[in-house]
Amino acid sequence: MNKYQFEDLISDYIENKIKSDDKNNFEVYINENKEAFNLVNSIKSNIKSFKKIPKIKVNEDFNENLLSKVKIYKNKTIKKIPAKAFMFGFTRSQLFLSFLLIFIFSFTSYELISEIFYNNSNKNIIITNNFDSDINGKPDNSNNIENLDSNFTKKSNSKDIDYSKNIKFVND
Amino acid sequence: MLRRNNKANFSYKDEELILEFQNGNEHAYLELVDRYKDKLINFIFHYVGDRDLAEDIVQDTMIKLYEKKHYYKEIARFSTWIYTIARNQANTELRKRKSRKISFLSQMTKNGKDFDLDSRSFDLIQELQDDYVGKRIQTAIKSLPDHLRMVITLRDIQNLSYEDISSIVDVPLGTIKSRINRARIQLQAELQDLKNF
Repeated sequence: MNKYQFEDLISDYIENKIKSDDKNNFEVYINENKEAFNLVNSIKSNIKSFKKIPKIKVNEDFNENLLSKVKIYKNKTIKKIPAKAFMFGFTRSQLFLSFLLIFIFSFTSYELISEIFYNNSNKNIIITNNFDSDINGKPDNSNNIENLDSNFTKKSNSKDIDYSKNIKFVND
Repeated sequence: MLRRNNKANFSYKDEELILEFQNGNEHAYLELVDRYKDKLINFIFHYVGDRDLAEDIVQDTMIKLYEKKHYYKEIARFSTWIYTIARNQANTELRKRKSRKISFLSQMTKNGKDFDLDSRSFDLIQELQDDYVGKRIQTAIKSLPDHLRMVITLRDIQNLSYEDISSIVDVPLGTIKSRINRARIQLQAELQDLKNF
């Protein structure tokens, strides 16, 4: 048995968990080696000393402190419990907020689109009116009800009109 | 709020108590706390070397027990499970402390008070000797590396089996035996002069 094999078996020997063959070799080794013998005895002695270490106890208010912490934990847990799902996995408040947002978005979008559409429509009518009055010398109210497409057609057709007839010289 | 059950629960095994607690019986929780609070503080105190810190860690362990009660499965022994929680809590705390580079102050006595040398009574001298031995052992244990300190505390102070230590530390049995052996040899070098006591 060498030193390393001896050291590996110290605990097993002290705790009587060593195999009989190993035990014989171990005892031969420690009887021949005083240093090894002393080491085994010292470790035995230390283990006995460990048993003498005074046991400490928790403070008297341990349970009280613990229970107050448990109480805090319980309160937190109660606050964290989510509301039950009402429809499609959403709670009532979530659904209400979602519908409210959708409604606000739709209403705002509708208003904006209407306003843009109305402004464009008026603008085209004004352009058309000016154009007709320029040609005929007086405004043509019959065109007021025409839609955007007809205005556009008119505008494109206006390129074919001969403006030279409307030109008057100062001397005339 | 929790109230202590007047009936003694000595007849219940730990595993039965945790099952009771999982089913909502908070008296079972209190019984488990009473069974393990002193065992755990002795284990943690020798591991971290600071009494107040040890008590905080035991409190945290008991809170974890409350929070994570449903994580316990019957396949493991309750004692192994609670020691594992305590070990993890202690390691987390030690990592925090190491990162802050805070060194622990050693304790002079179990009460943290200075020795009173006025009395000449034999009992007091014996008590002082025990305190001294305790302090020396504590200092020697503290000088060990973390992985050796953990196993030697569980084995020689808590008297747990090698198998339980292996489960708690989550290391193979052979490694545990080897670590305990090395720890004992290192401690012997530190505590050679204690043979006179």
